[in-house]
Formats: sequence, structure tokens, C-alpha cells
Amino acid sequence: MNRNARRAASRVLMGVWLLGIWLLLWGRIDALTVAGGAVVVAGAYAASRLPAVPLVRRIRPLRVAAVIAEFAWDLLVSSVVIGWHALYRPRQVRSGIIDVDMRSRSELILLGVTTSISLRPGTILIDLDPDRTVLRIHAMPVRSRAEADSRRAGVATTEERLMRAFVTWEDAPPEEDDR
Amino acid sequence: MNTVYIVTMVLLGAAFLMTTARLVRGPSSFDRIMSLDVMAVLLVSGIAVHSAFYGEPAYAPLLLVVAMLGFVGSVSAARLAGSRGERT
Amino acid sequence: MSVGDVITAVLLPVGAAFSALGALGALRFPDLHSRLHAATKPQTIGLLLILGGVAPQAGTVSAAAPLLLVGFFQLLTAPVTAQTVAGAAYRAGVVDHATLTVDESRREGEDGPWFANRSGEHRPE
Repeated sequence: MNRNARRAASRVLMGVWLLGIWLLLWGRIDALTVAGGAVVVAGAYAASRLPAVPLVRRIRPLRVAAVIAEFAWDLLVSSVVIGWHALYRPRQVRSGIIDVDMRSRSELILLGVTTSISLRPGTILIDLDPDRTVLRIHAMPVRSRAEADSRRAGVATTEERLMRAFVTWEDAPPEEDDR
Repeated sequence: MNTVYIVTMVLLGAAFLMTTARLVRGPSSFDRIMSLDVMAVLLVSGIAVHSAFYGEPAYAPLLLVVAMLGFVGSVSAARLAGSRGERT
Repeated sequence: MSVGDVITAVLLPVGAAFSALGALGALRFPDLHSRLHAATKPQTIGLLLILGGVAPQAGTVSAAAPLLLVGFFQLLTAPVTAQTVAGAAYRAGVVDHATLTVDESRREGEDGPWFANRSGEHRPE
């Protein structure tokens, strides 16, 4: 697949996605809403010149499901942890500012990791270095350096899971790249 | 089912009151922005619960609008507060 | 009581409890960033659970569809809000160092936030 074909494919995918949201918004599917949605999506494309989404090289559906399941579980567990700290001695809770090195060079993986960090209780992204290779996060609760290290390892695991689910062009081995 | 409605609404109301307390207390403008954002989410939750028990399907677009307003409002306010170099 | 009613009866109070716990944390935690953790994330889970509880009462699939959209929108915007507020506060210097056990932004040769002196400026390509 050459570059133009990939770009066109990602445009079509994005269009279908936007159309899906449009249909959800109306809450019904009939000829009129589909046709109207197609017009609106085409118009939105023309007006905003939406950039072509960088296509991933390969998606592994089972791994994506695993990512989502593990994320949902993390979300629940860490919510309970934060909730417990809110009830029991909240004044004594301690946190840490931790730098995490990114392995991936892909913007998509970066987006996935930062979203996952900021969505789960206990970690927020607060800064990003100019080269976008180091994430600075605020984590809570962090009582010791060992806990800070385990938080760092947790982010690295998230990145690793995402990289296994989405094989991106940036991270693919160069010999397989046919750009 | 009525008990469920009352319990849920009391919890949401308590959350709203606590968030109001944080809004009043501050101390930084970021705390206040955060409180307003939480209030928008609580409002969405409350409307959703109400519509479930009183069957008002027209509330669904309202949910989206409130959520959207909360999001755009907090992000722009945070950017403004950050760019003014607020130190409190 | 149908299955849908049972789902509603379980999910609504649990979701509201998460919201209330989050608000409690936002009220009681000592520093801004801890309050942000408590405020934004349990709210999201609370809202998702509540939407899940409301959905069975919607009656038809097409009436429940906008709820899915609201939940999806919340999942998309919550992290953006959280990291915008947290990042802006961090760069503005609103960090309570008394509550930090580890601060890796304070190493030798480095000083404070990376974004401090170039807000609004884009990275050169």
C-alpha cells in the first residue's frame, strides 16, 4: 500500500467514524439521517481540512480487547484506592512527580499513553519534554521512591500493551517499511 | 425503585455540595476551575438519573450540551489562568 | 422487577457513590494535584456507571444511543481537562512541595517545568 492509498483509506475510515457519531446523535438510522450525515461529514472535511489520521500498520484485535479490559479494571481499582484515601486520613496523603521515558516514537501511542495516564485515578500528565520522549506525571499516593518506581513501571507496561495492540509505522522495523 | 432514585440523588447532591464548598474555598483559581468542571459532570449525571425515572427522552441532547459546555469552559479557563502566570 | 431494573438499581447508587467519594476527596486532599486526581477520575467512572444504569430505562435502543455518546464524550474529554488544568497549574508553579515525597523535576542542571518559558509556542518541526 503506498502513501496515497493509505491516506485515502484513513480518510474513509475517519468519515465512517464521524458518520457513526452523527447517527448516534440522532439516535435512529434511516435513509434521511444517513444521507444528511454523509453531506455533513463531507462538508466538515471540506471546511476544516481534517488531517489524514496516521494509519497504524497492524491492529491486533485480541490485544486491543485486552488493553481495554485491563484499563477498565485499573480504572476501577485505582478509583477505590483514591476513594479510600479520601475517607481515611486525607491530609496525610503524599504524592510524587515522576519522569517516565517513552520507548515508542509514534504519536498515536503517545496519545494512548497520555490519555490512559490522565484518565485513571492516581496519575496525571503535567508536562512533556520538547522532544516528546519524556512524560512528567504527578502520581498519588506515592510514599517512597520504591512506589515511584513501581508507578513508572506501570506506565511502561501500559505503553508496552498499547505497542503490542497497535503496530505503528514509526515503531515498525525499517526493513518492513514500504513507504 | 423510588428508594434507588432517592439514594442516588442524595449522593449526587452531597457531591454537589462538597464541590461547591471547594469552589468557594479555592484557594487557587485552578481549584475553582476544577470544581466547576466536576459540577458540570454531576449535573449531567443528575439529569440522566432524573430522565431515567421520569422518562424524558428529550433530555439526551441536553446532556451532550452540558457536557460540551463544561469541557470547553474548563479547558479555556485553565489555559487562561495558566497563561496569566497565576500564583496563589 | 425486570433484569433492566436490577441493573439500574445496582449501577445508579454505585455510580453516585463514586461521584460522592471523588467530591469528598476534592474537598479534603491537601494539595491541588491530589484534589484533581480525586475530582476528575471518580467523576468519570461515576458518570459511566450512572449512564449504564440509565440505559435499561430508556426503553428503545435508539433512545439509549445518545447515552453511549455522552459516555464516550466524557472518556474523551476528561483526560484533556485533567491534564490541561494540572499542567497549567504545574507550569504556573502551583505545586505544594510539602506533599511530595519524590520530585524528579528537581535534578541537577534542570530547573522547573519544560514548558515554562515557551507557552503557546510550537515545537520546531
